[in-house]
Amino acid sequence: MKKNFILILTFVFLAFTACNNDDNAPQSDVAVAFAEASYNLTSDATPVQIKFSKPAPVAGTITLDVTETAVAYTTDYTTTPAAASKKVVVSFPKDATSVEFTFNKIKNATATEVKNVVFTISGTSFGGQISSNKTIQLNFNEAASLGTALSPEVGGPLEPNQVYVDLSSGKMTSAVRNSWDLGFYSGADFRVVLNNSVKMAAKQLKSTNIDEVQVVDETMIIAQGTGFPEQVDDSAGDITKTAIAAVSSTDSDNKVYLLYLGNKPAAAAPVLGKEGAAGGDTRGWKKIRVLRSGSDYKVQYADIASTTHEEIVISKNSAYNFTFLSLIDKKVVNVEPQKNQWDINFTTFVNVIPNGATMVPYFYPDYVTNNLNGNAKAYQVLTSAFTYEAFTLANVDNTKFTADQRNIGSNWRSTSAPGPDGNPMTQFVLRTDRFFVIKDPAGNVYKLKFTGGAKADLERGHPTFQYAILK
Amino acid sequence: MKINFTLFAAFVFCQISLAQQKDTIVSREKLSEVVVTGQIEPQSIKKSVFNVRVISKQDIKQLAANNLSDVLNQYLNITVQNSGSDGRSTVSMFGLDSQYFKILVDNIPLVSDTGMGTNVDLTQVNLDDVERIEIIEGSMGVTHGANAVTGILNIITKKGGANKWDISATIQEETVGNEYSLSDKGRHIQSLKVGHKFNDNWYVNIGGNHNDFKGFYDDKQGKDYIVNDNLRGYSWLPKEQWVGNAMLGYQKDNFKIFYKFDYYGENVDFYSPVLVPQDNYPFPETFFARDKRYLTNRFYHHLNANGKLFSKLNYNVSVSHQKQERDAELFDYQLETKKESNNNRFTYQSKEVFYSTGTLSNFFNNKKVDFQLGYEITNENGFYSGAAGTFLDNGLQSVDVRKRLENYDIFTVAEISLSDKLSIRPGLRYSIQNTFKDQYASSLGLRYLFKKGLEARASLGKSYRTPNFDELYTYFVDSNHNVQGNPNLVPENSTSYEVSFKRTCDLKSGGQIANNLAVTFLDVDDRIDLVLTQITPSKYKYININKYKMWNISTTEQYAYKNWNVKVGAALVGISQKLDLAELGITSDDKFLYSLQLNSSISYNVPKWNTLFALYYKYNGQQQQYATGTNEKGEAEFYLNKINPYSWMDASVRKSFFNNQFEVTLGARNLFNITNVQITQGSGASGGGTHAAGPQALMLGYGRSYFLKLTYNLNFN
Repeated sequence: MKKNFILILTFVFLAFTACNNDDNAPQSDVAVAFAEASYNLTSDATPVQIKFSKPAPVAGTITLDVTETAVAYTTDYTTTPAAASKKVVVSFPKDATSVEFTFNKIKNATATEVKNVVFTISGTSFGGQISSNKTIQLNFNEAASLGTALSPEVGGPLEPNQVYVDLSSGKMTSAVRNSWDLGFYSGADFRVVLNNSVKMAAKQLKSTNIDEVQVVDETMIIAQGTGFPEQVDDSAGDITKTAIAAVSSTDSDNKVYLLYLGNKPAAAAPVLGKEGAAGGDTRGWKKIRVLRSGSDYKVQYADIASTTHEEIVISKNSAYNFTFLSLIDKKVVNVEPQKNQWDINFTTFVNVIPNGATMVPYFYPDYVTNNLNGNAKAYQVLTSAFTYEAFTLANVDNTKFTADQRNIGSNWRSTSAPGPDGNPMTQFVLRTDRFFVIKDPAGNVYKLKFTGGAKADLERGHPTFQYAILK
Repeated sequence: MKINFTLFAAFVFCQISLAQQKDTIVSREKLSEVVVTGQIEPQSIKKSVFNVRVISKQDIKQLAANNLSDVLNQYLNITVQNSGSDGRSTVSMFGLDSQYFKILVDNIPLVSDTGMGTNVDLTQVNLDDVERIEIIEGSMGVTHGANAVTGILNIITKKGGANKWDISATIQEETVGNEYSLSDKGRHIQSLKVGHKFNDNWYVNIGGNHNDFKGFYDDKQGKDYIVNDNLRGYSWLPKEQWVGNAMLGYQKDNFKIFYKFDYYGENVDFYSPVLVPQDNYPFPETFFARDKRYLTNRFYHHLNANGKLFSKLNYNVSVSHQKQERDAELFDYQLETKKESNNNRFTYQSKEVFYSTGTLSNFFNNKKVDFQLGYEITNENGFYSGAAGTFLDNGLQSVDVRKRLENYDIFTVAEISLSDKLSIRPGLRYSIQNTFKDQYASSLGLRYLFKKGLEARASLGKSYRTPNFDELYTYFVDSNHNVQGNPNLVPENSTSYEVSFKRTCDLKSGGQIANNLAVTFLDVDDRIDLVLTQITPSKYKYININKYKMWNISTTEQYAYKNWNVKVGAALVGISQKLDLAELGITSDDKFLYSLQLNSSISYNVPKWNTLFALYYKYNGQQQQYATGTNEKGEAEFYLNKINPYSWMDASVRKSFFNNQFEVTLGARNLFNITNVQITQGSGASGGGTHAAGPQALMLGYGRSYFLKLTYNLNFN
């Protein structure tokens, strides 16, 4: 009995000392980090935010070290609270989830100057962990973003928008998928592309008479396993392999094409967890004939049963990859940003994939293309080779930047999860075993990882990603 | 064949080494029992026109079987199909699934999530209050109605008891493969039964059972594993079950009445291997998983009365109300905080049934002719939530399906003894259905008793399987898909023929030998399948299209001598299926594909020690089946898939102490350590295309496991 008593006493003692050890732990489980990794200063006073991963356990301070490039305190900038001996101390109350200090720009950079200030979190009063972003770079001049987190608004399960993302500026441009039908190439060639985000298909006819009455050809419709690869543009993005042949300077070579305009997004959101990007009504049929008009395009178009047609002239604009035309609204529409101002596009897409031994067009929601015509390229890295965190510029394999706009494609996600009955079930699944490397038209190289594609309740069409510049 | 010989040799050897000892423990199984299934009146198995197989209480005890799944593994011609990932195990007989096999309790079908007697999850049938199990193979549509295609299994529960008080408490601990711990691994069972006789007329039985299966981890890491590499969760889902039952009975002279209530509750947890990251920039992502819980409740009420009318006619009437409801609860499990959120519970599937059956017999007061007139009323109200199947409307919105199936059947059976030896038994059923065309079933049985204990039987039976909800109401039509159920489906029709011989003889030495040889033929026509009915654009629809034929020869030998009891069985099953791919223009080869099954059990009683040793063995030979695949040209083709052979072996020792008050059973299941069995795919089945299938392995068990069962019996008057 005595023995037992001593044993119990020992345990109680041990338990107490264990508790004490815990209390004295120097590390808090709360982490702090800058909300952004870099920022191009536009206004005179810029708030700079530091975030807490959980509410601050106690009131306290965060100390920041200051590193200057071609700038001096008071001449070029000041901070509030003020810096002293290259340090800024920011205080926060208990339960704070973020804290800000203000950066005051005094003198702008000239066009050729490279001027910036880097703040580094060097310590906290409560032993908080310092997570990436440990630093923020504030640029006086226009500089490429060091990376951030973005959520392109493709618009939920019907994915009505195409979102063009420029990584170096963090800017996103949205276009309504359903708003255009044809893109006219601005490069040297005379080429016309189809809007493949709505499942369009084009079939060359024998005739050169646009006023000849045509009938629908339902075999052109792209559905499960149907449609023809030659009736859609090259899915890799090769501009010399479009469904519509190069527009010839000899008018008699330019045949009439029957166009299937594809499907609209569904009228109402589908069952939670499913997508309805092409689940809507048909967009109908048109016939077109495209001719050259000097260095411009001349487009003849009409409804298929019509015996007359309309004409529109489309000019090339070399700042853009394409000029876009809506046959339904009968006008030129804005879709893509300038060709060197976007890198990746969140869209729906018709890929060409094997179905048994034959190749068929197949529709994908949640697709990402890279700007091949603008010379933005991408490739995939598996985390089994490199972790996202450890990947640097030295690890980039330039031979993998192939001429294919599908190198991100649908690889970032899948739609099959193991179900409770052992069989796979359809469900959006983000692939976390990979990330992507992207080289933008200016030559900046970024690593990019997707952090989501559906909401917590599984509603599709809500992609999120993070990226960081490689140095 | 080698195995068979070895067993036989073992038997011979054992016979030589026998020693005379006195029985104290009840070990000797009666070779002649009274059966009720498919009979006009309870009668000896010998007189039955049907070939009735019996699983005795002794077998159930010796296998330490808690539910039907634990015991049917050893039965010839039946394969138990486990789905470890949703915890269900169902029966497959002659290669047809559980939709063709009907499970009854005290002669009335048992409700399941989706069926009445069919599609029963065997783990949901507790065996605590079971007296014996009777099985009849073949189409039993006349006496048991729809879906009794491959056979029926009737669980006879215990009614009353031998003493004024019969109390029994059990604790059973099992390993799951090599996994065991008191808190979060293994299988833990507790049960209590109380029987009381108030007087010669009234009795009551009450019981409860708790079966806590903690899941089989295998290479998985449980629910709190936070790495997104597909290892989170369980290989077999954890499952907790509660059973409560009560029976109140009264009997006086020829009149018997009982009311039985049964509650069954179940909780199955699915922990998804897919972790979903949550963007938390600039901090690292946090993770949650979309988990799921299935909660099942079953309520069973059964009132049965039987006796004599006008002191002449025998009547037997049952009225039953049963309801099984399976709820799904979806929730997000946050890995960092281990908390559930967004819990959303809804009814997934449910079935509520009002059922009544009754018979009148003994019209002629004549031993030569017995005549039975019966009715059966089933009123089923089935519900499938939109999440339980592919039920969408044209706007791709999910639709719940709620349908009522009713049938009003009358049936009649005559049993005519042309002599002491020859009995003939014609039967007919007519079923008025509210959803399908009216159905009928017929049967004819013959029994002849030769000299020297040889019995011969022949029977013909018809039955039908009614289409299920998926087949009737699936609807998924959008720009990429067109898959449709078919409300115009007709029930599948089956016909079965059986000829069997049985011989029982008592040897002068005191031993008993029983041999049984049966040949069965079963034909199912108008089988329903989902096929391509149009190629461009592709349309899939359920239609009555395929054919199935099966023939089977089986034999069992049973020897009982002194303290030995040995059973050996063998069955050869040949199955021919004609699968028609409709618009794709090909049909499968309908040649018969054969597979062999062997089973045997040996038990030996040591009366001096009050100990019974038992060994159960079953061999499942290679099974073959045609499956569709895609060839290099992208065309559909049939490939012959093979399931490798595998064996089950269970062994146990049971010993009783203190005048049978205390009973210990120690044993092992799955001695061959079977987990998965490989399916070899026919050459060329590369499974390309857009919706390819994964690698094939059939989940069978979770490996060699051990159990210890302690029972305390208290009986007094």
